[in-house]
Amino acid sequence: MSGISDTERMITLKTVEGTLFDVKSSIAKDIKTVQAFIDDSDDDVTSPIPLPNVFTRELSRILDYLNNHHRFRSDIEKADEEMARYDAEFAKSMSHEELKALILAANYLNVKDLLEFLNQTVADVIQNKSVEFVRNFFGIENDYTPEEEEKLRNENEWAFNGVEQD
Amino acid sequence: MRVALADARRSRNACGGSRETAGGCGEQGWDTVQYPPPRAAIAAVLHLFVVATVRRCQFFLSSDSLSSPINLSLFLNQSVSLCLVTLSPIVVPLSFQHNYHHSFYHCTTASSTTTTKVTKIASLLVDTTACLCRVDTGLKTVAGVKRYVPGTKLCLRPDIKPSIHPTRNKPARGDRSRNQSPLLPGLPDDLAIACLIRVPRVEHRKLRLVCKRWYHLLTSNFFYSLRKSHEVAEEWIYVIKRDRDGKISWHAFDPVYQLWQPLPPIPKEYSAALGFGCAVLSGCHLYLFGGKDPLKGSMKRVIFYIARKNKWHRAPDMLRRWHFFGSCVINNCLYVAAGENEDVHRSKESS
Repeated sequence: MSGISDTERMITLKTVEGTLFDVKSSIAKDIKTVQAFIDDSDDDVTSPIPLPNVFTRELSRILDYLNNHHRFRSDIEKADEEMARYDAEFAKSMSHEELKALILAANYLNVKDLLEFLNQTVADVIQNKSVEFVRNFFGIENDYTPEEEEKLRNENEWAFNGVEQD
Repeated sequence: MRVALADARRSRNACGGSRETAGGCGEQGWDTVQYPPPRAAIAAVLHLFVVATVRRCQFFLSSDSLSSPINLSLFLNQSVSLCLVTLSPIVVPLSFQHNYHHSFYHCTTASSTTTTKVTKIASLLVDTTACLCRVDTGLKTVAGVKRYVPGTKLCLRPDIKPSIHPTRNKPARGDRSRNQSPLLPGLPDDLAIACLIRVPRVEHRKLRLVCKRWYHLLTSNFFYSLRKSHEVAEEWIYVIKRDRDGKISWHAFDPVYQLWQPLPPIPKEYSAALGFGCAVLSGCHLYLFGGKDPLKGSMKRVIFYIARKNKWHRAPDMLRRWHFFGSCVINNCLYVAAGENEDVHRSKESS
């Protein structure tokens, strides 16, 4: 293990591809799956912790996110502002496929804050978009018959017309 | 004093499933009990202008005459303010109704949430642990997860059976889930739901059009209970407007996005009613009851609007024809205290 400091223990994580990541134990605390593994083993964890469902690309992004958030939290003065800016950049930089892969990885690693943030990102995609956009974006098949859809739209027609004038 | 009582608790089962039909909840009904008049019913008449209180903010409804536009203003922390932007998302369950004989402004808030079935939420919360078996809540079998999660090992402890139930009971359930396409392709349903509950309520009507599974999810009690437990539920203010012709229509106001939305047109027989009562039951059902039709006199009809489905339905009639009565909700039961009873066609009156 490289980069062991006197003050903080390092934990090594191993992805599917076999790539090793060194993580500070304070950051590993946020990764509940890893933390549970550490809690279960009585001795110091010396061998790498295998993560059989996490790819290198996702893990590096997750650790990047956690490291940055950790840094923001230690600097209270401008924490919120910088964190918001970082989150916005983070959300913008992901493609839809990357977003889904990250959600699965964050779910497996049980990183609550990140998972919540990613879920919100998906919800934001849907906002202010047309029904057709949502279907195309997520690859959802429209299983309404044209008549059924027409009927449903008519039921809601008054809702699409906007607020009436008076 | 005669008081009629509708027990909405008995209709809870109907609220949770698909059994609700256009005929209304089958199990609910009116009952006559001998009680002194509830005090809350009287209080509702005395409060003239405060139409809703959400947290510490009070909403006022004012209008110069019956035909002028409605002004909704906000009273915030003892200082009058017309700026609605300062409102934080409203999560406090609230039902307050205002009922005044002569001005006929009724206002009530209804969230599209109900508190029943809380126990069911726990099993589908996105709270999974190291073993992938736990990811597999809901509809898929453990083998099915393989498609969604890359990797060679499915489970760190393969000796644990995913279920204690014998496997022969499984096929029916498995078949159904295989036939269903996922809510969001590429994600297990529990994670997809965790994403979808965060979409604001104003978008929900659109989401129902995406596909049938989304429609069923977005009209389910489960979806809205989950929104409530994640504290993302949004409450809207519902306002009745009466136009020059005396026709009434409902509008919903979203305080977060500051949008007015019209509700579906009220059933015809109610559109010109006077002196009816309105109340919110189960958090998401808006009831209108009694009242006086200008032509036909007092009515005993009851209709209700389901916020989740955005539709009007009919409920069992009241026992007597009434208008200008007091009413209130206690413990999710609707109490109606005797009001006026006037029938144009006297011969039809039975009680």
